[in-house]
Amino acid sequence: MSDVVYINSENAVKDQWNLLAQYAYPTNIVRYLQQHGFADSKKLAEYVAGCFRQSEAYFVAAENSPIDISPLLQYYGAVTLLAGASAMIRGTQLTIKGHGMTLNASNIKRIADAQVIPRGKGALQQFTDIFSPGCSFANGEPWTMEEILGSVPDLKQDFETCYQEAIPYAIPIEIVKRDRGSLERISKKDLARFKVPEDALANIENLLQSYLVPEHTNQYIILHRKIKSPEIGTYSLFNQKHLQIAHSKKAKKLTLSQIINMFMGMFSLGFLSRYHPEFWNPFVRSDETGELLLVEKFIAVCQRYFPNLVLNEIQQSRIQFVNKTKGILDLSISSSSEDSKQGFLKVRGISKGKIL
Amino acid sequence: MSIRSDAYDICKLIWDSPSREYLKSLLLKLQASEAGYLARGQRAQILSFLIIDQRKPELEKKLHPLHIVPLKDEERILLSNAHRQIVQLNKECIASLSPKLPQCIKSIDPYVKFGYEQLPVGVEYDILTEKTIEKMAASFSKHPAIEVVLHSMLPDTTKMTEGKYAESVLTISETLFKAGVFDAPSDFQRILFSQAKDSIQRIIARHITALTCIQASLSVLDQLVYQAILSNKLPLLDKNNIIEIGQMSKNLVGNGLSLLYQPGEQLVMSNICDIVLVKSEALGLPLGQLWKVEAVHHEYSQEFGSSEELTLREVDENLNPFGHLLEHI
Repeated sequence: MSDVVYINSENAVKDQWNLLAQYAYPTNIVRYLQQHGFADSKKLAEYVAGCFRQSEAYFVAAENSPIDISPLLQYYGAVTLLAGASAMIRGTQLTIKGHGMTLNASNIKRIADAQVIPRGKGALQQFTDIFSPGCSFANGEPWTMEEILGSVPDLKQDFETCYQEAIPYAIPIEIVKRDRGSLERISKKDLARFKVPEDALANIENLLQSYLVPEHTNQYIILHRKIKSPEIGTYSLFNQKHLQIAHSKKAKKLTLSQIINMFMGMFSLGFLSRYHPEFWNPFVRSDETGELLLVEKFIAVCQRYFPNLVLNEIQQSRIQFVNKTKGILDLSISSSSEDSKQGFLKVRGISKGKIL
Repeated sequence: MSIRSDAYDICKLIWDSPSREYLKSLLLKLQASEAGYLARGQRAQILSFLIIDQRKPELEKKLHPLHIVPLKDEERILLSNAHRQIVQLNKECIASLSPKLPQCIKSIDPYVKFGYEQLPVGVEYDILTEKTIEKMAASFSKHPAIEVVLHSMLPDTTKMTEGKYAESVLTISETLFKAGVFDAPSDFQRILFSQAKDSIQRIIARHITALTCIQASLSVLDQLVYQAILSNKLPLLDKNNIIEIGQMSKNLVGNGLSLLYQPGEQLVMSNICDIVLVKSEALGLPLGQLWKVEAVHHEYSQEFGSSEELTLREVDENLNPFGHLLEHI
């Protein structure tokens, strides 16, 4: 999903919900289902519409609530949004029994130590099948909040500040566009937590299917995309590409989409605040470590970006909200070099056919 | 079967030649030396090292403080014999032209432009056996350009001296090279569009162009032999090292292409005149075509890593880089 759609906006949160709100109307849902080859059903349309309306209400409530309860409201908003979006994408309502995960927060000292434990074929695995295809959770294999927070691209800096020894799972990429071939590069500073850069690269799934052999310079790891290769990686809220380090679970490598990773994190915080007030209350009232800052930022990122990511899945494009002046086409910059690169194969000269 | 596939066959025979390993290790050693750097500029394969060895005093004086290690007698003999066999291969390939148009032979010798003294003779090291040369020559004798040369002989052309032939072929070669791989020289366009096929001017142009094509094909053959001595694989450009396909041109001389690749294990570096294999579906051409390197632009920086931009000219099944021109002239 690399097609980017730029939408001008002065309020991205409001506008993303405006876009999602079109699916709160059965007529639009029926049209979407028909366009995607599904039989329309009034019952399904009403189910989806209800999910989108409730989800927005939960997210608005979370935004306006104190952190004592906002994580749970946000999780409810997320689970409802995924239920509605899944029904649209699959053309049928999923049969979901249970969250598909439990929280282990006994005797934890940090949020990072809380564990989300996938269980059976509940909501987690069913949503994963749609929003992170190919990922199959190992039943009972725990995911720590440290892993989950470390996998959110927009949290990398805060994550590394908060957990001095922890290894991040999202590596920022700088895309360099040049006349002579665009390239992507990783700053070696961003791999400082790894013993050697190869440790990080070896755990990026499909790296060598998508890129030529990485080239190391003193400052960077240079990556060139293979021609016509599938894109890997994910994009942050501010449209920065990140490569994802896979998580090793029972000898399997798993690279979750941001939607599912955030979903697990929201579940963890929601249930921690709801069912472990003996930990949550002192944490939000008098945290001395700074972990609260990270948690607050995670909640803020989910609040802003999670609905955006779900919208991307529904519309099959990467929607980027920007604030730019419209109505100006600037041709004052020389485009000669661009001309030579546009049209991937530029055919010049006299063709054989013309001569004959 | 084609001249190209027969050339592949002789490359495979070279791999099994008993002299190959010794020659290969010597060439690799020389390539890594100061002489190797200078030899790349000569673009005359094995002969490059012999020329540099012969011109050592002059080059050292000119390029002070460069020091060129002289070849040992045995090395000189080894290189001389190998080169002599390549020259012999070329002679046999165009043997059918010799009796009918002897004055054109020198013009199509790829090494004629390199002045060198008589090479030493010594113990024979066979890289190419007589049988191998015979087989390749039989195949090359069917080169369509040879037939064009023989069918475009006019009273005017038969009167041409050896020097005039050499000068004419050299002029056309240089004109084609200067025009680059993406364009046909305007002179050719003018002849093609303004002269009837049976006009004297067009026939003479066809005659000299065909000789140029033969010379270019022999150069490619010689380069393939040289590369076969050095490696069991042709340099390969494919999805594992191509960064970007640039410009592509199908013009009345041939096919031209520029591409950017990342040097690495598969292809460490390229030199002008190298023959490379390109396998990329993005080109929309049959996979596995041979291309001749006409220009190389290398770039390395800490910020952007290393890349090489190659300008390539396609080599057809007759090893001819100017196939379209031969067809249309």
